[in-house]
Amino acid sequence: MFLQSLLQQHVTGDSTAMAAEAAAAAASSPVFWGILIGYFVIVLGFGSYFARFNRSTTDFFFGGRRFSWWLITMSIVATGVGSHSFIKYSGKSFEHGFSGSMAYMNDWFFMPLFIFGWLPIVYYMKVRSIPEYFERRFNPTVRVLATIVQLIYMIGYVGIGFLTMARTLEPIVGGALGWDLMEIIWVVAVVAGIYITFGGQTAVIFTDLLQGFILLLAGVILFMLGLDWFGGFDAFWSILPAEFKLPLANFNEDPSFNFIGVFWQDAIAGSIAFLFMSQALIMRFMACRSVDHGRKAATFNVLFALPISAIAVCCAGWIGRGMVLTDPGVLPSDVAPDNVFVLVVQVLTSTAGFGFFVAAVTAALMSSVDTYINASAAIAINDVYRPILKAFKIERDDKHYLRVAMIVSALGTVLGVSAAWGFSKFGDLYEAHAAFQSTISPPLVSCIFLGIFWRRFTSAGAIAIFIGGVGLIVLGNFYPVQLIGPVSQGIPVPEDGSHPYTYIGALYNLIVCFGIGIVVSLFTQPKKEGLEGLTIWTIKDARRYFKGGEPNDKKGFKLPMTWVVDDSLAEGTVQVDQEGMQHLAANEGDLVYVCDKRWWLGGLRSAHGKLAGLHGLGETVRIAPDILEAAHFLDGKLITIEKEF
Amino acid sequence: MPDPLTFERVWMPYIYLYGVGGLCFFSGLVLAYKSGALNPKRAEHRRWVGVLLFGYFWYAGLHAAGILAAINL
Repeated sequence: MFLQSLLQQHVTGDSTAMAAEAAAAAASSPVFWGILIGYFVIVLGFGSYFARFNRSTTDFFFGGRRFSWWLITMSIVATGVGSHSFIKYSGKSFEHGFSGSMAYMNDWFFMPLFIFGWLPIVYYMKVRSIPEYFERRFNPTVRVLATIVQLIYMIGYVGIGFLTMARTLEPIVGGALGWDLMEIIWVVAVVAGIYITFGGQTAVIFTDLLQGFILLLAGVILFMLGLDWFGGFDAFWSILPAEFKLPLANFNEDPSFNFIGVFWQDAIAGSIAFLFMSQALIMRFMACRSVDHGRKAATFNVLFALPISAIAVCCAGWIGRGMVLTDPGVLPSDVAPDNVFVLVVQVLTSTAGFGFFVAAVTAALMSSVDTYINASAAIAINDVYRPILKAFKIERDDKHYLRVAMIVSALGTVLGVSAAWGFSKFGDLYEAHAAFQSTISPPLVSCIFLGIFWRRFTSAGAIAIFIGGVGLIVLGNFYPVQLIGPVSQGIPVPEDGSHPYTYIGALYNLIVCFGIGIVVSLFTQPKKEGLEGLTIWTIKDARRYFKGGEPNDKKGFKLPMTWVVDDSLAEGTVQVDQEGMQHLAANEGDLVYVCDKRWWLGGLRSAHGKLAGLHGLGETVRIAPDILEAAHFLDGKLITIEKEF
Repeated sequence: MPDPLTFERVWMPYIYLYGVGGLCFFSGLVLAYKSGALNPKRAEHRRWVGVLLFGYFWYAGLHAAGILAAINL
């Protein structure tokens, strides 16, 4: 029946109507609704369960700095794949073939600087936000500029996420329940808002585990179903033209999509932005139990998770193109790229299966939006609220900030909905946010990059980048041929009169921002003091800062032990016996990590402490009451203890 | 119809990606070493250098395999 209806509509060639009808038909299945409602119930359950793990703002924003790399990897995957990813990359891949996946396959080039530079700096220096780094590295003015920019960007991102999701769901639930766009946005926002407000970062990370798994599984299943539709991989592969199968785009011939442009826009500017500028990503790495686990999470994500994500989000486009070439009756050859994902899913799955894929797209939205709401709240608390109270000399305990953080998270959700409403009513606002993002990212990226890797970079250079860089980027948008043209490396100007140099503009943006920053810094006085631990050249100080003393790099062992609480111990301290100390290769004052022995908890029940003195209880760790409160150990369960460094 | 699979179409993007991208990658390693952030005396750091080099060649291999499969299979 569906095939018939698709075939009938092919005659009219209206792929948007086909996609809408396919989606609406799926909404008639009770199994579809069961899957979707079940998904929402599970996500809400996660939020209420993990609320108990939030005792401080460190728990709420950074998950208590306790999680294993594999949890963080899945969380990064879930955050990176947004609700628009399935639609956007399926469309790109349908048009341009396997090169549509380039953006997912070129993030390795800045990993050395991330792994040995930025990650240890943010972790050991306990940098809670990008604006905070700017104040410590430069001055309070740069922090204010960065705070404003980041908040506008993130709330806008949340709004765009809600809107994209609602537009994806509208043909399905709009028809079945009669909901309009804003009603759908409110339902999604309420669910996301509840679990973020109460669950904080811990809930975000654990729901991301579920959501990341769902969306990767959905993509891989779709690819398998697609291959089965063709009768196997060989049949699928042989029907595609060689150029379609090439993993890298044409060098510079096509002005709308070319390798050179994507390289500078994505592999260079995008990778730096992703690894160095993203508040959401920083919070993920701060939630890791150690720098080493952060490194593992980052490398596993880029090496293995991103290629799988690429298949997940692009495969509908590849399959769709193959369908067009195999049997023109299944999909129209002129199908709108944005409709490819929905139509391919509809052809390959039952209506119940369709529900699973809608849940996957919903998961992609929720897992991105939750992160940005939590990150916005972190900036609002750390870079706005705390400095204001400090300015008025008002002192508050951490419980107060935790309560405010929850309120701000709820407020962030409402602001995101408001932004979505604005974007839906005023198309110009949506474009304005996109323009704002592309204009402000290069200055932020340049400031961070120069700040980390060049000691001579000055505060004046940073402010000059924000003002002069933005000015020249705007100028480049008005005079692309004159300003971007010289660095376009042979990319032609489009003949249809559309805006030229869509991707390669990133190279021009980076050149002007880095150029201004370097020139102004050379003519101004650099900061002589206060750079300890904040640049790659002073990174050794960062480890000392973190520990509060000289690091102990002697290699020890992880020990399984029982545990007991001792009220007489000072806050944040633990004790082992002499033999335990020797096995750990530790000294008094060294930092240790105590964790429930069950690895699959991913560090959920764990805490950090400081070794203080010795006891004679044998293979038992004596812990202070606040360590138990943070770690949530269960009676009778063994724990492990290991030295941090 | 001109042959779309010219050397420039097939291999130039690859050479540029791992040439210019490689320059960024290896410059990053050198900078990390020069600054002392990468300390080759620490076994853990040597292991990470190995992982980083593996990653570079892993992606170079994946893309090369993809290109060869596209033009030959």
